[in-house]
Amino acid sequence: MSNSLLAVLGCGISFQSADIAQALAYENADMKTDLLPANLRRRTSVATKMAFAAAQRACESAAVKPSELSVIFTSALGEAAITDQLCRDIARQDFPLSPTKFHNSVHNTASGYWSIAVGSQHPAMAMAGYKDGFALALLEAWSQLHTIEKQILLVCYEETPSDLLLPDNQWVACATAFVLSSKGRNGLSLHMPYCITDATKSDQLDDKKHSPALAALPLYDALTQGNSGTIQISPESDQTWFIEVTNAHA
Amino acid sequence: MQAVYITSYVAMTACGQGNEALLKALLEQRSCLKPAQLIQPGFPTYTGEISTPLPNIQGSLKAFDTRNARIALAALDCQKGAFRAGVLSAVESYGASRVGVVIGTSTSGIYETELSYQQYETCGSITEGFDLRRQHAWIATAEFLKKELQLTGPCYAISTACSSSGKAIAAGQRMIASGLCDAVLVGGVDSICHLTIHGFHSLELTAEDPCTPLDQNRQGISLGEGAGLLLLERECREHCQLSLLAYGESSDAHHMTAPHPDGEGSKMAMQSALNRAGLQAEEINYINVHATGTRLNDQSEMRAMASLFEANIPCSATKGITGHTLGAAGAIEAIISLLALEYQFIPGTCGLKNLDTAFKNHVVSETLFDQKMAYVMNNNFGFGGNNVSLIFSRFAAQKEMPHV
Repeated sequence: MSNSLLAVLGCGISFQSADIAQALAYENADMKTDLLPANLRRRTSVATKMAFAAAQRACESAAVKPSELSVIFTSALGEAAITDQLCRDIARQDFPLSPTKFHNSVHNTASGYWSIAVGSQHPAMAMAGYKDGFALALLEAWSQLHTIEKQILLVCYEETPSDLLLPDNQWVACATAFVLSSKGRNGLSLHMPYCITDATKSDQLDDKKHSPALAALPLYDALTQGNSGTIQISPESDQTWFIEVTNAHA
Repeated sequence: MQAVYITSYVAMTACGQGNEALLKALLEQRSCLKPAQLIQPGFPTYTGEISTPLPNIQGSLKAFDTRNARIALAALDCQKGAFRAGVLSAVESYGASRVGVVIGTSTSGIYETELSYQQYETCGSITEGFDLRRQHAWIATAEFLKKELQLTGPCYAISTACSSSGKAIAAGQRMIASGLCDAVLVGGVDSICHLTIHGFHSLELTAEDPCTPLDQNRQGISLGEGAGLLLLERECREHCQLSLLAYGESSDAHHMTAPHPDGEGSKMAMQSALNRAGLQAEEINYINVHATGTRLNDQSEMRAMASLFEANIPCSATKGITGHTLGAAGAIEAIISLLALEYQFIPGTCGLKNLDTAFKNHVVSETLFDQKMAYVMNNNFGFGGNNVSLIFSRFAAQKEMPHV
């Protein structure tokens, strides 16, 4: 079982900041998406917009209908900006809270709006790790595709948290998305993600420096450039995650 | 998908510490809802709060100290640490790296974040020791449990509002079926917090009086808090008589907060669980319905129920006893379903006076004893139209009812 592969059908990426996207040499990486209805666009967060933009690009590059996919959305903090606003409102006893802000603060805001916007009744997972959240989402995708699902859209996204939540943090707001299939095709495939435990290494990463969603970029790069090999998918620590990419054309 | 064994489970609820306190409240049909204490929001509302003292998080894990983590620790330690002992024997059997953790939560440690923001508002500085990753982040309580139990298998959190821990239980079955783990600690933990009390009030979904799910005059939800933890295992153990047969998941694709009026999505989740379990609807002996006590939720679910189940199949709602524990509801109600299977009773619907005349299913109002049940279904539905349905089975003799 652990040898069976997942086919990669498509990838997408999105950054909040055009400058950062450019500095990192990503093209077609803005937050534009036409899947988010106009009435929602005005009141949804950067997190949800980025997730939608990356997800739409992944579906387009895979040439699959978004409504045909189960989804896994992963993010360490989810709707961090709206949560920050609500905690401020609560601290100031500015009641009643905004009902829209409240329901837009749940972790499955992005995945919920996605299923509504694309009209998908397939299961929607909203999960979280922290530094290893992307790796664990790939593992969850692997688990789903080896039991019940045929095709999955995986979206990894993260906003920059406010200074009150995480003072002086350097998190880069971005999202990546991948369409994965249990059916092997010619082309790029992923093996089962695996974790190397090394007790001599610390788990005390500097939370301010390590932007959880950036852990997905090496895999995104390898897949979009057609590279095979071993890709690290979480920052180095006492538990570091890797995944093997193979390219049938190579 | 292969069934997995449920070798240990524990609930920490407003009813008290452990399964026996919950069982006692279910048998007596005693509501544990009281006027809100921990947070007094300035409007009348009842909550199911844990009133017994909670243990402190100490030593090397002190950074994880939140009300949520304390509730989780209390669950590990109650019943003389029976659940903790179950996890440790799984570690002995399979190794720590083969035991995973998947915990559902709707608000994680946000109660402490709220206190930190309050201090910032009054004193200009956040709370000393406030730790975003170990307290506020979705993963915080799952990671606390992983470290407290020294597990090294995959560990993540699921947060899909009120379906969170139902989905965590489903994910645990998948992880065993796909070979990733041999045992998985699954469940849910959620504490009372300002965000949910004021948030549900702003949506006009909270009841002034104790909630009355499925009643003609239901007024909304009463929030609760608690933890439900279950140990899923690949191998059966001595005295184990319960298994998770199957789950079904779906999305409504309808609205962020309102369920589909006819319960299309929830019906799909139930049907999918039945298909995977290889069961016909009439083989289900009891359904613990999600029934939060809001007008629309109960109507949507009962329409779905009526379209799937004959009118003679019993169902009931138990949030009138525990309150709606949000991200922990799936796990706590899974445990209620397991208690029902183990002791062969059907809990009544606490608070129900006059069943909504539109509901056609057999809603059990008073607890029924001496049932013959093999299969029980448990439903949970959340914001975003996120649905999950679980089917449990009992495959051994009935346990003797404890003297409670």
